[in-house]
Amino acid sequence: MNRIDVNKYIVSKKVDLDTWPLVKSMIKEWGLARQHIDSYNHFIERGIKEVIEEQKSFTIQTPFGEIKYEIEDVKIGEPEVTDFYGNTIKVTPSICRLRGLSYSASIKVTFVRYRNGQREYTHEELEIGKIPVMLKSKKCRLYGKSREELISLGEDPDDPGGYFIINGSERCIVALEDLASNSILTKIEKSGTTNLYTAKILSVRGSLRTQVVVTLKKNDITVTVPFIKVPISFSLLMKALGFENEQEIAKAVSSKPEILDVIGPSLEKWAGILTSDEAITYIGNRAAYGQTKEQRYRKVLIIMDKYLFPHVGIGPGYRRRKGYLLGEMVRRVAELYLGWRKQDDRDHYANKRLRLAGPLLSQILAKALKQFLKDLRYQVERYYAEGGTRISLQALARPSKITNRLNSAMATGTWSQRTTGVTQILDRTNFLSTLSHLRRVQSPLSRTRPQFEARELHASHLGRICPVESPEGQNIGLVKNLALSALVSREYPADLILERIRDLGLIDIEEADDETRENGAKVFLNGDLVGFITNPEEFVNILRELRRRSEETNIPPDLGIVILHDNDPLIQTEIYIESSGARVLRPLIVVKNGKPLLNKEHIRLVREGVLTFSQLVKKGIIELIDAFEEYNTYIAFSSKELTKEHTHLELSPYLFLGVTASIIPFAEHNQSPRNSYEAAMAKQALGIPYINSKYRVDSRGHLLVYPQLPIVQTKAMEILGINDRPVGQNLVIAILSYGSYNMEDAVVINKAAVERGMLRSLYFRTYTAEVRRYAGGLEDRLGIPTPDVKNYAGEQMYRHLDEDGLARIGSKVKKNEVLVGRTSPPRFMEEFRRITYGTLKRRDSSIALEQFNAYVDRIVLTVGKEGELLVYVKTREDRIPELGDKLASRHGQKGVIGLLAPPEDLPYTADGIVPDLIINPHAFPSRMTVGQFLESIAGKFGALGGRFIDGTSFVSFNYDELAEMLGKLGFEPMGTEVMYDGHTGRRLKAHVFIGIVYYQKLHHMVADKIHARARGSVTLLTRQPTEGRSRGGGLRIGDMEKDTFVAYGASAVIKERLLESSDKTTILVCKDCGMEGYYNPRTKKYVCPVHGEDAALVPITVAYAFKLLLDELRSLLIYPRIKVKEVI
Amino acid sequence: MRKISSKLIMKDERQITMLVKGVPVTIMNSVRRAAISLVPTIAIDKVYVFENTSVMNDQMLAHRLGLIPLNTPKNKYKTKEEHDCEGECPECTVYLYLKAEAMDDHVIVKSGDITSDDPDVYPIYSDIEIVRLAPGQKIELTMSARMGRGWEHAKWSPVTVAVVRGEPKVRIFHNKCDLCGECVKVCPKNILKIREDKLIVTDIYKCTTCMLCVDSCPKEAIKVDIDENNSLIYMESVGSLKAEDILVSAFDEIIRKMKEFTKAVKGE
Repeated sequence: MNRIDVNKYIVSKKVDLDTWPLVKSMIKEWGLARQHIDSYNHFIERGIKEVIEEQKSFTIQTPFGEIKYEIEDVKIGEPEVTDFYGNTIKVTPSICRLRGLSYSASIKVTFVRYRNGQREYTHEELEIGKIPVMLKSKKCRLYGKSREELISLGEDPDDPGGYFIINGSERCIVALEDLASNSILTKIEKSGTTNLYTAKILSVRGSLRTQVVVTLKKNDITVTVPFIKVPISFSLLMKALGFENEQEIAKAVSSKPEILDVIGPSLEKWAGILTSDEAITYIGNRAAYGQTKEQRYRKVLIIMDKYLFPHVGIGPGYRRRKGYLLGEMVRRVAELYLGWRKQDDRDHYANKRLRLAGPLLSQILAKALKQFLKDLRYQVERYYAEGGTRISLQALARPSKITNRLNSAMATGTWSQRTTGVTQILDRTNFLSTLSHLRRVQSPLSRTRPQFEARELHASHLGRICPVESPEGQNIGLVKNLALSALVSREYPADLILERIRDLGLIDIEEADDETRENGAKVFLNGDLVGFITNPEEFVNILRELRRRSEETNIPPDLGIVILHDNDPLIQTEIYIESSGARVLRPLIVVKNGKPLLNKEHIRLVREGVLTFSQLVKKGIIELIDAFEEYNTYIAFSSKELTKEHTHLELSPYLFLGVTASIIPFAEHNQSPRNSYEAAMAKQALGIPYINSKYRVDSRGHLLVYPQLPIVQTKAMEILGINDRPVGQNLVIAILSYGSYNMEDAVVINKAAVERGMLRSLYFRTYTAEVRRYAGGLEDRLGIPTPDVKNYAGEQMYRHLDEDGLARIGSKVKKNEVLVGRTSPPRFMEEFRRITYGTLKRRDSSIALEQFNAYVDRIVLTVGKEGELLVYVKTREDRIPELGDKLASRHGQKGVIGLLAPPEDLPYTADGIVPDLIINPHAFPSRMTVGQFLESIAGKFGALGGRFIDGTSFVSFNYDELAEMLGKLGFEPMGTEVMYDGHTGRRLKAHVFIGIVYYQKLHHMVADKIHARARGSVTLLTRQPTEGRSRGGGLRIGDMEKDTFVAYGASAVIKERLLESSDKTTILVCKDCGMEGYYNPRTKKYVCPVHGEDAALVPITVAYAFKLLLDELRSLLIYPRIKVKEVI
Repeated sequence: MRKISSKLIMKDERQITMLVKGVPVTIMNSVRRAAISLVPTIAIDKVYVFENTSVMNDQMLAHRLGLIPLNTPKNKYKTKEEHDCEGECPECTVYLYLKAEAMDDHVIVKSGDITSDDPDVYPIYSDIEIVRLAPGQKIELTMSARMGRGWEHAKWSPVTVAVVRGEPKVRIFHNKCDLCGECVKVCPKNILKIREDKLIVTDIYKCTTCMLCVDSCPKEAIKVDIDENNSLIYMESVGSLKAEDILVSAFDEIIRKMKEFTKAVKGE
């Protein structure tokens, strides 16, 4: 349609090498939720199979012999839902959102049956459960669809995908920032006065996660092995792993005399144990204490082969490889002890991985599968025990085990008892907040402990994590967001890489001679020590060249290649090759001989759409570098500073910002925290969250009526889609004090502008009613309730309803008026069936409006999961800016409306321009948001010249340039103007800074918060007033408030607030014993529980909470007494 | 009492600029204020929706319709205060109609599509976009327009721009001026010129008294002041009334108020 092409009218500053088209191509090609979709696709293609490979069979003993069932083939179906009537229906995301269903596909497997080891036959395909489908993943119905197709499916064509739909609500997995698995991390731990030197590996393979810690103590080196409670001595474990003698163990560590001195005592200590068997038995005595000898021995073998370093391999064949890795860990600990090596930086992004949908779903699926197989095995066993012959797994399997487990984990975000909050409801406040939510990264560290280092910005965050966007308060620095340039690596099979590096001259670890061991470079592939290389520099260069020609060589561009020469000559060169997923990469331009490989021709081709970003990556012109490999790079910020030593050139200076931070114009002129505040506030701004609202029934949603493109643009806005779904309006802002109505961050806004539609928004709220059928032919009924119904609210309340019980569309509804007329059968019907006292009336269970005023916007009828009728009534409320609504510019300058001033009272310029909003000048000196001034001038220029201005941080105009531009249009260059007082017409003495600033309306509105109470409901237990607006609660006089009354001596106020208007009660107390008595109305006598009917009871006035306390004390067998005395 | 002399600087249908000498801005400002908030015009006030299947909801549609400037015939319709009626009567209300349907293609409903009972009350601009209808969508509305004033709602305000300010005065001391031209360069409105070895002001009414020339002059040869005893008035109409009528009407409104006040003083 007639969408304005911003690019046509934008005024940008000329830059030397404008890489903008590349960035645009990158995001257009890969989308903004790529990391989620990639991870999920990997899970669908390989992850599921790996999980099933881990536990795919069960064996049972039957009269016919040993029978084994094994899963042979795994398939994932299409997104489907089995409805209440047992029909399988193909679903689209839109259907799931409307009907409250889960968007999931079935996992289908084929079981093969073996008898006594002989393959018998293959069972038919069996559904073992349903797995949630990520939107826009390969399994999703939206995958690869064009815009028109997406629209016809009821989707927003620009929706990023990357989230799930569980029971009708959109939930996204927040990436967990984990410590890198499979790599050695050394640490010096201080315990008291002595230092403990440790090396740790978190070994992960599929859903197996185990940890091995090597600790250097005074005269021993111990290893903490999974499932063995006591630490095992290093040399003992090495012997168990098949290293024959001390010399061989030492060789696996190092041949350096200093290191041998460190490990010597430990080796000597266990020299008495000679063979592998002896060592295994010794360990077995500690691992499986109290079991039979055979069991002990077997357990150690299982631990060694499966749970010790599973990433190296599973099975007895890997024992020696594991030993070498263990040796490497010991060497590092020794080097750490000797001071040759520093401890690893845990906050460095090289040591971080993002745990995304794939591994997280694997984890849950593995647990669920275990349960499922256990159950199936039990069912099959029972079937045979009962004498069954022809077995049907279909009838015995219970796929709901897996379905429910996955569904409930996704719905609640509870992965295990400790890890909660993994999934969150997708933020749909505006489009920006959705994008930001999908790019969020959460650190699993506890938020209560200080952990300052973990919260700080680290140099390795550059280009990966946004330095600006993080919440304030307890989560600061722990919740982060990906930068625009950040990419997450995809996993690539390690064995294929191993093959390639063998070809390049890798010497296998077992075959290496002493010379190579001593002087060659160690090669680690995904944390596993695979061998040595004699020509490290050359090897790395060749490998990198191969990676740069990934199209021909098939070596993925995500591969990380690092060579580390330590400053200390005693430390061997190490080469790390990483093909693992979940590393955060960033694109850089490759530089050779001081010249970037990227030239203007490339950029032109990309702009014209001939070349794509990924092609540039495949050609090796742009390289994806992980935080570890950055150790080997020398990156220039701009092409001007390039020298021969440089290896890379930064792609763009503004890409290190995240989604929300990159909408701030002139951000580099602001004080840094202000940008953080804005990054948080942009997520609360009203705008257009989605354009398929017709096909959605969100319980709450806002919509800005006249959203505008910001005159002052940033480059990121276009690719983020903010220009299609803006979040504010361009207002004329004067910086001026106005009466006292804009003190303390209040703002004065122009009443006429509001009446013309400025910052007007709509608030949608959907009310849901279910119409169910119950046992015994009872059912809910829609209709206008009749007066004989219990809880009948009165005729007036049902006035909007039609005969069908639904409010007319377009009717204006007031608070407590009914939207859906519904009656339900009496409660406890079944129990009372035989008792016929009184009449059991149907009760009114109508849904009424909770807001003050709303219009009925739309009614949707559909059928839910359990076959119930779902009625959605979407109501609409006009939200015209009013006193107290919250507004904010894009520079962390928030404020509430303090006055709606009539236009004739507002100051005006010689041209007759009246400001839309007046902000107080005191908002600026201490906050130093100079960016807002620049935006104001740029916005003024843009509005006057009919242009958009590019205000992208770091590459935009400076003040002098903006001033000159404005001056040419006949305005004072510094953005000020002479203004006249609207009340008197006299000139204001000072020149007023006036310009155009993009303002956001935030979703904190008075209409949602206004609340007062005179009398009202009380809580049942304490008889004190209820709490909270929704329950019509009171405003609490807390202890601080009470203290002010005490200080003032206003005792009557205290008594009135805390007793009279709260929980005043009269109780009867026995004069003699002090116990609480009561009045017996039947005998008309006052009774004391101790002294009986003749006791002397006196009424006293207390707070009900106090009476409650007495009751509770009595229940604890404490005997509180109230002594009563006559005081004249 | 100072003599009042008025000079019409510029006038057309929509705009008027006058210099009123002898009337201080503080007095003249009340005319400006009256023009914004007191001069009555006609605008759509109520919308009866018979059908609206467009994506725009009824309230938004009504709001947009209300803001469309309508031609206000002189002395034809009465304001609320001028007569007593139960809401709508032929003396104060005009009915307008809008009916549109998109058949095969998208249709943009414009203000020109509005029909009126009174040929004198019509949308001044016919190309104001009201709503876009997709194929199959339809609107059918009846609107009632009535007289109102700007203080009630901005839609009744007849002016877009209303300015009253003092008369700018630029004094050049030719004896001090060395014709360096700094002030000419710096003046944003370009009203300073050097002609025949003399610095002159070309269009004094454009001067905003921004003082940039004063600040730039090294010889202090230029002085800018504003004379707030003389008023410069500039008004621009939204179109519902002629600019000159707005001004006259504003005076009338002030006089009406004065009369009411006089009555009150006399105790009538």
